[in-house]
Amino acid sequence: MRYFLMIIISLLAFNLQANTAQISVDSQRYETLLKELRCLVCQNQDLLDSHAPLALDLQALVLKQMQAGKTDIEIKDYLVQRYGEFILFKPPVTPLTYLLWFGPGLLLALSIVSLCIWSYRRKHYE
Amino acid sequence: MFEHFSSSSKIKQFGLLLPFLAFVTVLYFFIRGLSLHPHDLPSVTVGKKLPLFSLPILDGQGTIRSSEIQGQYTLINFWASWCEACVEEQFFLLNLAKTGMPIIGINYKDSERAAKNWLRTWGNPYRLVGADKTGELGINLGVYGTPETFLISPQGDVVYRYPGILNQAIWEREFLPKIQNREE
Repeated sequence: MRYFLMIIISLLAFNLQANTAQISVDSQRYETLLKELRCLVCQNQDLLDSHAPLALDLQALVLKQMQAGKTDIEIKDYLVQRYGEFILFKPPVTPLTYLLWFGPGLLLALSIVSLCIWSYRRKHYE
Repeated sequence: MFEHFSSSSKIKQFGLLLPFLAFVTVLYFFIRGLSLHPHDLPSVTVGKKLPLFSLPILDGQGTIRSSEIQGQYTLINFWASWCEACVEEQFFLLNLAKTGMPIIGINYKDSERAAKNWLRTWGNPYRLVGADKTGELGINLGVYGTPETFLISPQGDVVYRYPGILNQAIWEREFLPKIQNREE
């Protein structure tokens, strides 16, 4: 029984390996791209992480397009045209997202400036 | 030294105002957050032409083509037999079909047998049902779950999309004005 189980498990493992080996054109690139895309069903997960049916479909679609020789940008454009920019975890820099991109830096600069003014004034009061 | 500092009236005023402003800002975002629905995603397909497609008809032979959905306002409704929420809107869809509104069903990622059984059980409001077995049309229209309904204009444009269960109130609030405005 033990041997039987071992054989089954090794067969399964072999099968799994064979599958991924067959699929991966460039698994590094595939995984990086999927990590940059949002699963629309479970919205805080990326496509690589998610097992929702739609996420699996989109994984297959990304793979298919990669195999067809599409670039990452072309694949992203394809998805954005259908699902909107929401599917990108890293939103593009547009006037609408200026605050998102530059807000934190602006806040930091503001706090540094106010800190300088504050400590300068404090020194003078002393 | 600190007393001296805080007794400056200008700074005192500002010091009181700042936490208050911060509080109001945070409050604004909290209250706004209560009425945000992260699953109501703006559709990118609205305003575009209906993507070209050709799907096998579920009950019978032949295909249903996107070019056939023209000439009058039509609903395209994505459903599946495995979708529990779809049952809930079926009663409304049956009533809507009786008023003469053409509804095209797209059976999304389903098996033919299960889909036919489901229609026998819950009723069939559809003029035609196309089978989108792989979910390809779904991806092209930006569908991320069933039920999802699209309003198509007589010119073949996607006018509106509603993700979720349809009912009379939503129909009157969201769909009817869009049909009537265009017809005037």
